[in-house]
Amino acid sequence: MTNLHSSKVLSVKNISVSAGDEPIVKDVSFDLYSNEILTLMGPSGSGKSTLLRVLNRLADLESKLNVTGDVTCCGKSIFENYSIYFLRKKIGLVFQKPCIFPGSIMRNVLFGVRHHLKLDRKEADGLAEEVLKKAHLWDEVKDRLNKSASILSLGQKQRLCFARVLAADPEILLLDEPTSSLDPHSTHEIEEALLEMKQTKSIILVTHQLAQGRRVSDRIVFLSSKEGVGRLIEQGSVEDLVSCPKTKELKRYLISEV
Amino acid sequence: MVSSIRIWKNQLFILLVYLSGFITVSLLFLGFILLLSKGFQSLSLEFLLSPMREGGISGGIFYQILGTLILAITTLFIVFPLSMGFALVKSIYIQKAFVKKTMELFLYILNGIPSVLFGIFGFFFFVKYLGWGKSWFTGGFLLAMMILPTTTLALSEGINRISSEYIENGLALGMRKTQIIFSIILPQSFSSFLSGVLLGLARAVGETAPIMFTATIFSGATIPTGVKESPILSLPYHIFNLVQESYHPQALSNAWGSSLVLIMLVILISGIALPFRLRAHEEAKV
Ligand SMILES: Nc1ncnc2c1ncn2[C@@H]1O[C@H](COP(=O)(O)OP(=O)(O)OP(=O)(O)O)[C@@H](O)[C@H]1O
Ligand SMILES: [Mg+2]
Repeated sequence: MTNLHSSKVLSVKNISVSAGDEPIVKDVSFDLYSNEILTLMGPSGSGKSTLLRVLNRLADLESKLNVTGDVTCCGKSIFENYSIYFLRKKIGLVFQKPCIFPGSIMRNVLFGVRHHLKLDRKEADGLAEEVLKKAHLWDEVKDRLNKSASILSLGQKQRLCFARVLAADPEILLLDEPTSSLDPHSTHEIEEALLEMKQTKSIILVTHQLAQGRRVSDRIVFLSSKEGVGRLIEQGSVEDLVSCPKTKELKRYLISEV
Repeated sequence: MVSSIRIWKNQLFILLVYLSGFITVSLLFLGFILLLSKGFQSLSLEFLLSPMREGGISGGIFYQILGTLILAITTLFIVFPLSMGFALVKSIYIQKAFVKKTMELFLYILNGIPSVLFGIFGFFFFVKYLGWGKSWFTGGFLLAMMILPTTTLALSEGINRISSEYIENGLALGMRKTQIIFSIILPQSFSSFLSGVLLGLARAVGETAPIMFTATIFSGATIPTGVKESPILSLPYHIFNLVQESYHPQALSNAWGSSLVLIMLVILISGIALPFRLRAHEEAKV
């Protein structure tokens, strides 16, 4: 549950995204509080990934996409008052599709962070171990850290990307279906890890599994997709949304989920 | 029946393709065999390692080989940073489609300029106007200009092939543009770049026209001592002169020998390029 003392860390205000004349997301507003896990749900194509890309400013710099509205982080607009590099270190995004850079597992883990921190060999090894453990990948790769990362399985790649983002120690984590290729056991471990990270971070989680949303999240934001345009139609605590959905879209989503 | 005519046409076409492929390859092969049979007899270690005597009638081609290598290396060092800068600006820094197209057009035009024009322009501009004189540096510079389109296009092709996912992931990790260039873009397009550079170089070492007015003389040069006014000898110009001016059978035989050496140099450079070319194709598949 969101406790009363937690403060707003991210506030999304009337965000609309369009590609040329085609609207993708329309007028979405919600808040993210500190130490909470907010789940973003909605049918495929409703603009969940697009919203996450707005939040760490990948979308508004893409020439094809047009973003209006504002997002404030700790009270300041992310579009005007932050250096983009600082913002992206503060708000880490794990993409839906894992992307592995050529080279070793070690190189991949440290890919971003080695540009931000001066790490000596020992510190780098320590950091890699720490984040790989958090992403529950350590046991599987600890003996082959210097081997190519491209031979990992899809689920392992997904966790490697997660570890890579954790290495920069972001305050806000945006996770786009982080367990979509994982078995139930690894999924459970990642969920445990998220609940633990909640102590120090705020997390927005995109998932298609309602059960996962119920297990980990404090609140749910539900997007609908009408004629290809994503709109926020309901938000609230997990229990409220699941037990008494107000809109027929959410009802339909919940029924087909079961 | 319609389908049997179509099959028949299809087979005729395949036959034509094979035939034209066969003609091209066999012409190339015949040329190489001729070169080998004519040039092989004058080839010896002494021929490779001793300087020319009696205006090419006797002696070897040591300084000609050296001069050509100097030209190749100079070209390499000049074309490397230039095409890298050019390709990066074109593929990354410039967003406007119009400017990109204009730059591309410029490169294609540069690519289409006959090499003799490079020679004439180089002679009037660098040798005379800027006063660089006939020098290995002037020649290397012109050859670099000549192959710049090839190498730049190879590199930007390599860059464009990099999946935008990599760049997006780099950006999402908070990396700056220069960091992305050095840790994602250049490493991943390097094989196509290097193969482009080597193929361009293979073409450049065989050129006579751009260097005959600007860099090379027929005799009297050894190792260059300065940058300005220090001409060199070179293989293509040597061959050109021996064939042009000499009716002496020995000179002609030496011309064949020199040609064989030049061709082997070209094959060598292309051979070095091959693994990089293959790797670039391999990477493109990922
Ligand atoms: N760069 C872009 N240019 C044009 N259209 C885009 C772009 N990015 C996303 N879209 C469109 O926006 C819509 C929403 O895409 P998005 O990836 O955000 O959906 P999603 O909710 O994440 O779906 P999924 O659950 O399948 O991952 C899609 O119709 C997509 O085609
Ligand atoms: Mg998505």
